Amino acid sequence: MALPGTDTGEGFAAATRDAEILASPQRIAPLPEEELSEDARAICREMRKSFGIPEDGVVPDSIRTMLRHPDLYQAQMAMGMFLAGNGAIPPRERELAILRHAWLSGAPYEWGEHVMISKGLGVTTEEIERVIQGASAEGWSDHERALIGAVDELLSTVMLSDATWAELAKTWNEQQLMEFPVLIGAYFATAMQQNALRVRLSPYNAGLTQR
Amino acid sequence: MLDTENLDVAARMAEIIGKPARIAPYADDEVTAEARELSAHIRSAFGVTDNAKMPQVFAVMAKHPGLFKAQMDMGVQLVGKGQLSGRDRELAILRNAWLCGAPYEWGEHVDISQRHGITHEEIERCTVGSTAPEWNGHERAIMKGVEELHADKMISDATWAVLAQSWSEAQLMEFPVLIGQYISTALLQNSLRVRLAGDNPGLEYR
Repeated sequence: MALPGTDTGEGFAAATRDAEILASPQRIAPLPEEELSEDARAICREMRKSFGIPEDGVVPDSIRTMLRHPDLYQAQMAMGMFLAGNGAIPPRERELAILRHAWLSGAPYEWGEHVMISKGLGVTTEEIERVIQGASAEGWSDHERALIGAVDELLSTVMLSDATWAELAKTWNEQQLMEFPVLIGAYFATAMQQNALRVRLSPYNAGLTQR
Repeated sequence: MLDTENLDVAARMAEIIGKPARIAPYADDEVTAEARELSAHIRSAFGVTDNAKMPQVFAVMAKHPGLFKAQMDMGVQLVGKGQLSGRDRELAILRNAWLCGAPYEWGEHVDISQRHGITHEEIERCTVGSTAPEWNGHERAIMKGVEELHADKMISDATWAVLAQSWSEAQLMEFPVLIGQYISTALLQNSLRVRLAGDNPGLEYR
């Protein structure tokens, strides 16, 4: 099927993409609870602590899947924690970029989770709708429009145009400019892995229809 | 998605490295000891032992040490401690670098691939991809898997089934993360217009 980034917005049926990713069984079964090692539980506790997620002792399916390759999971979490906890890009801008990426990648897990994270940071439902419309939507500041357009450029040309770079560089310092393509790259990896494994969504995540 | 089937290599090279670097590297005396250590660590994971001169890309990345470390740690995990064989990994990275139109990544991994026994003819074939007739079934599925991840951010059931004949669960889980990491590297190196290392001819290299 065509992805939203290529022929979208309105013609793109979120439910169809959700079904393509999630209607078939997951490709790697989660580790059963009783097979989780103490190390694996420790990784999970550490991850929750750094993202501020309350500890309820239950390890969700998605994480029990990832724990079939614990080293890889730890490396991915380290990257995620760096970008979210110690990154140079302000959280609101980071989340707008991740949302645009998740939409263009047709990634139900990433989209749903980051709709919720964004809202926690004060992004409104109207702004989330606007992320779907993209850079041409009414209401963005020049910086935000460049940010959304930059995600489109990275996905379509694997490069940033001089015009977009110049606009971003009015607001961002060198560290923020350097971090941006890596941020999108890290969420690329996550989206491709979660899609390819058909990782089950958390009960509160509605996938691409989440607003 | 770039149209790499009809890629104008010279035009792509001009677009990425025909203009000045967007972030200037640190001068030699500005690079911290910690950044030098990280640089040596990643290079030894790739089998490079000559650390006399730090590649310019590291002297750029040293301007954002936390980001540099996070990226290097992921690279060391995938390369040094990864589950995929060196040959499978490098075939996937080469196909990815070509689809990304990434001169730095392509050129560096042509060299690295050769250290894993990948031939000039096979490198040329990575520019064609899954439709080249000479691949065996597993190799064709690697090519196809990278192409599908680029086009659809997903791996089809048919390709997954072929990969699963040869690969363990851990290898199957690692493959999309590997491609993501090398897309990330290509996005960064292209966007920053990082200068190629002295002997890297970019996309023309075989």
